[in-house]
Amino acid sequence: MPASRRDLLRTGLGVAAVGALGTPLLAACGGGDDAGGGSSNAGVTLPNYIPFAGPTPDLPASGEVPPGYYTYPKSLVRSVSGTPLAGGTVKATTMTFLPIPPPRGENGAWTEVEKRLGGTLDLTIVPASDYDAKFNTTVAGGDLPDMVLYSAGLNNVPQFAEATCVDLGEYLAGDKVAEFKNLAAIPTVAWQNCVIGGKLYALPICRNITGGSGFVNMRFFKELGIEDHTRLAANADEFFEVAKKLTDPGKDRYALIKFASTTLFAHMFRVPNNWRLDGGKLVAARETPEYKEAVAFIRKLHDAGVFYPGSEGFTGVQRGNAFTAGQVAMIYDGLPAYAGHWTNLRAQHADNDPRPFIPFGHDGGEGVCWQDNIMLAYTFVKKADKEKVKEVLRVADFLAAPFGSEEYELLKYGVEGTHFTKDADGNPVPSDLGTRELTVPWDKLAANPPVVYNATGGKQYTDYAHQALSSLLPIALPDPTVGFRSETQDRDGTKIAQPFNDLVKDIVNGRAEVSAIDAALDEWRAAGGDKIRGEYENAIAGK
Amino acid sequence: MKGSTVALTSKRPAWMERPTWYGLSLKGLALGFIVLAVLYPFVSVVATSLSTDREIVANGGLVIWPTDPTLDAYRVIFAGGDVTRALVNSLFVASIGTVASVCATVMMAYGLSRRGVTGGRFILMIALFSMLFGAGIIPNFLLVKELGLYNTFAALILPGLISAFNFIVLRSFFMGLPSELLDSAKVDGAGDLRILLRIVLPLSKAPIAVVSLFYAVGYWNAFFNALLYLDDTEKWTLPLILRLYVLQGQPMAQGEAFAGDVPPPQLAIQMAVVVVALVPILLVYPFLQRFFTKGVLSGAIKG
Repeated sequence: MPASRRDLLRTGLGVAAVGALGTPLLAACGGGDDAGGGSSNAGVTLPNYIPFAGPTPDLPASGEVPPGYYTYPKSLVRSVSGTPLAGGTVKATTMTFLPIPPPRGENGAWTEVEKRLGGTLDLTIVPASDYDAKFNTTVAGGDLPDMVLYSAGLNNVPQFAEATCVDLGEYLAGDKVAEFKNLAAIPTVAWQNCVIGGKLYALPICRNITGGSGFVNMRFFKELGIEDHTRLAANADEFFEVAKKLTDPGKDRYALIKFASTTLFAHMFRVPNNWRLDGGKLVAARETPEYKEAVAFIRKLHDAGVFYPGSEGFTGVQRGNAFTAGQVAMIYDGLPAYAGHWTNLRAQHADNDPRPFIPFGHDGGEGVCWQDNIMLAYTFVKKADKEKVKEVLRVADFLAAPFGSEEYELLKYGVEGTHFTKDADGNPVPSDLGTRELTVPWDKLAANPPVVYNATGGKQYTDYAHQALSSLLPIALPDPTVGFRSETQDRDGTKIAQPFNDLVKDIVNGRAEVSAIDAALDEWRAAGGDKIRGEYENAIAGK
Repeated sequence: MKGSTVALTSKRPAWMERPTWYGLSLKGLALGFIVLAVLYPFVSVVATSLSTDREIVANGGLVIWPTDPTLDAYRVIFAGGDVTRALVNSLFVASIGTVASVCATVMMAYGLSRRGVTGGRFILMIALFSMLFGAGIIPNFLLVKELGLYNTFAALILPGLISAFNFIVLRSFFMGLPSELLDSAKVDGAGDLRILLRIVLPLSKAPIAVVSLFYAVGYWNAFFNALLYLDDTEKWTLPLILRLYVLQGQPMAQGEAFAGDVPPPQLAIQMAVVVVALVPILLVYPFLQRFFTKGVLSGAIKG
């Protein structure tokens, strides 16, 4: 049984949003090696992983930890030979989070990319916030382009995929992927999430596997004599004391900010990633004693007044601003937001020192995090004759060009001298034209494997980000239900969980007591929680 | 003293008591509060659009009084070209759409306000039916595609060319015009078109101004249809751009930035786009305001 992909967007996009206070269920984009390949997907041969033989990184890749680069590579590798399109046209629809680029024909970077492709790449670009509406209408109108990004919104993904999309296994399974070298460099864990209904139906827009556990501004911790950001406190009690010391209302400074904090504490209390599989039986994260303890701890912090007042209703931007302005010392935000926090905080105050938070165990042991950022979304390829499908895959291969390749540079930075120049260290510095024209969302159709590099961050940024991934990935818990489907969860999961989540929100804001959780759990089970559990258990058991 | 009292009382109807000082103060306070409540968001949007990023961060968001005002946000949005293009598109759609809609609505309303039009009642019922039941997104999408309007500005105008509400407002007003006036024109040999142009329209400036405003605002705000029917970003209207900019500051966008992506626009840029989207409609209102109450009421209470 395939997993619903509704959660995918909530992952890649949502890791940063993480608003769902009271839910450790933030997004299960996870699906580790032992979870994603469930019985229904067992027969699927995934593309073999063939690493990209690119420039030597400063920090090597290891396991699922991506390579890190201090500076932009001096010599690039050509990753695609020939012209993928040979005069043809590929149409695609995808989303953007950035300002819209100048249209095709008026966009020099786009023209250059088409020159390299040897044909036309006709893109329909849709704002991410409204992508689902556009996608659904396009599907209903029966006019799918050759490639289309899917994030969320369909209840019957397997049926849709079977009726409309190409089984990519025929072209990419096992060694076949070697024909498309850049696609072959996409990690296996991402491909596992593209198996729908027992077939490989999609190309992944892969991410860093975990969304992390938030960020700390070490400037404030250092003032308390705490230098090691990987172990801010020995246990929850010590952290409680640290949080109180960090809080100084007179200076408008608080330890934490509301809403974004539940996940962080869930990690500290080792709450499972959505579900825990124990001998074929599933236990929802919210049912675990760890979860209740985490909620109780947040309530304790609330009562101690260490959360920024009024931050319960803050938007993501407001939370980010409070962190940047030094009003809070810790924030929950997705790991992909590190580059933004790095730039913003350091511009605000020279002593600011933003680092990814590495969760420690509440009892002095190790903390956990979740595999909740494996992919942003994925791309379907419309059914067509073999030649057309191969043409589309060649384009996807081009767009998935890895960091360190000529194609990546073209797609990311444009043409040197026109769209960017290089600084003394060889890092690309975009020109105004480059900033305008390079917002074409190529990377929302087929994405390159992740690397740690920041053109303006230098060695320090790369060290911190790489170190964070090295620490977080080994403790990232998979979601055992990824790869499996519960119709009730797909259809009503959010609605069923709403009363429980509302209660947790009330508890951590002092409007209800922790003891109310048990009754709310009973309600959740009766409203459909048990049914969801049963459907997942059956799917996992292959029934 | 007495004279001034007489002058004051003469401005009031005979049945109205002389206002007390606390009554006037209370009214003043209430009105002042309402004005503040309306102005506050607007002022904060404009002020934030003129603020530096540092000031916005220091204020924790919206700014009320920028200490170091700058037009940088406006420079950024107009340098990009997308806002300018969308502004032109929206102006085009709003002006052409308004003219086309007002012409079509006036003609339909006038036609159906006359007695003895064959099938008039049936057409009227269909128009009224459309107020109660919409076709839905997918049928409309398919219709637009089948008519070949997809990815054209016409897709934003033609499907909603005549609004049933505006049509009823105008028809009601036309029906209230003295029939003797129209009959005498007919006796003098005027045809329907001449009667419409020379007699009815000059008498209907107020409701037509109001209906024009309704249409103009509707076209100016065209968002969902633009999202569904326009593929080319060069044809995007301002609301699409506005939404894109405003939502970009959300954490969703930050989620994209691990490998040194372009950071999301700051609040000042978002607010600058909001201002750009607001100003044209704001400029139109004062000129039409005097027609507004009269126009809506005259159509609303006659039938």
